[in-house]
Amino acid sequence: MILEGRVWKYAQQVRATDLVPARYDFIKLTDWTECSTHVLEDLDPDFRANVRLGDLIVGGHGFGAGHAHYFQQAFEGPRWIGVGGYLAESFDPIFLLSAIGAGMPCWNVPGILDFVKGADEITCDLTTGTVVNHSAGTTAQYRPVASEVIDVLEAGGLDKLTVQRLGLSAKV
Amino acid sequence: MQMTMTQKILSAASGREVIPGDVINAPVSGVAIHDSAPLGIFDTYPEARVWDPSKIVICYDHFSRVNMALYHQRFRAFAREQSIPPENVFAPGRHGISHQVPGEEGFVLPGTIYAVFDTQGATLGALNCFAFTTLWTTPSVMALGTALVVVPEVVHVELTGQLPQGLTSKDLTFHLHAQLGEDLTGRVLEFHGPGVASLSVDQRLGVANAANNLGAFTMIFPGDDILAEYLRPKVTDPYEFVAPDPGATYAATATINLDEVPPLVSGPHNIEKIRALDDVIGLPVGAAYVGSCSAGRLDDLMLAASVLEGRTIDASVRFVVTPISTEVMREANDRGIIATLVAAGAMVTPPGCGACYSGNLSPLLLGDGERCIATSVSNAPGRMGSKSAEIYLSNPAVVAASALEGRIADPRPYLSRTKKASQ
Repeated sequence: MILEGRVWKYAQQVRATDLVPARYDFIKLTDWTECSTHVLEDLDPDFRANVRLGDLIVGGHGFGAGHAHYFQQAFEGPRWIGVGGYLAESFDPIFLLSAIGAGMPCWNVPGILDFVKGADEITCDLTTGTVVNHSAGTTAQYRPVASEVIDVLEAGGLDKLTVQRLGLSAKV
Repeated sequence: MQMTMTQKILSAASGREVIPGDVINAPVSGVAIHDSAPLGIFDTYPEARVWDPSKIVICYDHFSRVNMALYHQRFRAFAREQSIPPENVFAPGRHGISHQVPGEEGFVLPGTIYAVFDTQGATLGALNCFAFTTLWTTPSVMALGTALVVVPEVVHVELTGQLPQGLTSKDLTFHLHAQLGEDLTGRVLEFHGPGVASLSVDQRLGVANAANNLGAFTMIFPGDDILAEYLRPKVTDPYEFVAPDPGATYAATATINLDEVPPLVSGPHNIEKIRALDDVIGLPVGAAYVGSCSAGRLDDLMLAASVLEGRTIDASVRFVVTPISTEVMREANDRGIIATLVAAGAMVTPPGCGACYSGNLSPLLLGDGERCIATSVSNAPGRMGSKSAEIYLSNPAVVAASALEGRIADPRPYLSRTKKASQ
């Protein structure tokens, strides 16, 4: 499972409601097009106009924390505009499992804040734990992501993996 | 290996000794969903089957004010299609909150892993089990009988002393938040020590309920005589309590002296804005609420009633009480608690999540500029109605006293002639 993209780095804790502010509570509407126009609106007003397909958001400790009511919009909104994944020093564990379950790549990479800076181009192989910083010309080795997680991400989320495991023929 | 309760439960379920950071597909002992849960793959694939119909519990609790009838019919149909036993469907008349009813009805055993769709699923960790929210992955958990878990680190919390009169799990969780802060993030709080015995199971459920708000993964209380007594009339299957090994490794340890917990209030607009009750005394309130999965249990209703007994709430306040479940409402009725609340001027609604979330049917729904004192889960702007309304969270005694005075009030003068109600 390989992520390739440009880094948007926020050294602080990026909470779920930083990714999409709580005032855009789309949990009932699931209008991801509208939701996606508000990604990082408060934390980084430049983000929305400049984000590119595959860009990666890198954050500090406790990424995604906050009330779980706001989790879904915090990975569906960014994903809708092509954000390729989240890497952080550590994640809120419930947010992490929810995002992975939805097929949004993300994982704890302790030390990542020191290894990348904003706008670096990186390649992150979650399966092997190798991260290459093309902008800096450096490579770092982290703990590989468990196969249980890779299985979910490669299937495109838990629902799709579950369908495979139940032996049902895929729809959509 | 010397293990925490978390490690013991997850190791036993997954068949190997686990350490924090390990990833497992953990076999669950049951799954609880509610009346606005997603059915995901079961909608797309009518041929998909739940892994064990007898282990699925469906609780009607939210009563969506937008599409209640649609949702309720949908879950009845789902239960029929999946051969989920009719007695596992807690529809009106037997209903209650999805992370209360499975405990009341004996579906949750110590030492097991229990999955709940609702964000507050950790609540059931009061029953000496590993309970947590599986959110939108819940359809997959129902289909496979396993949940993806990254084994979390554990904080060892030693409880000593006893909560002062009139204080509850609400004050304790705010105190934990203030004392432990970042130490809680992503971790499991495991409680130990002599102070545990001073907390009823109702209060333990109220404490564990706060895991999500505190940023913790879940919480686990130890097994003891009080829990055994709670489980005795409910559980027929054999079970064993889980206890940690003496040399288990913890990410952090803390001691909380319950004697020293002060009356606390959170808000407005931010759960982390925790203040001494004294700092907000006198603020006018027009709405008051006792209920929710945080504090709608018998203990909570009893405490509110002990403040209100023989008194009348201020005419400027609408005071709504929503019991957490039909079982709690029945018990509160039998004990005369409902009569006391109604006599004081409270509006007691059918059980459920009630006013805690603005999407639910509730007469409390807050309007622009209102200020509310509530026992519920969240005080985020808009949570209980208008985004411009202010929500202060406190224990049920503070809510009741505030309803009497029409402003945030100290309940202690009203409690002085009653016995300790929270025990």
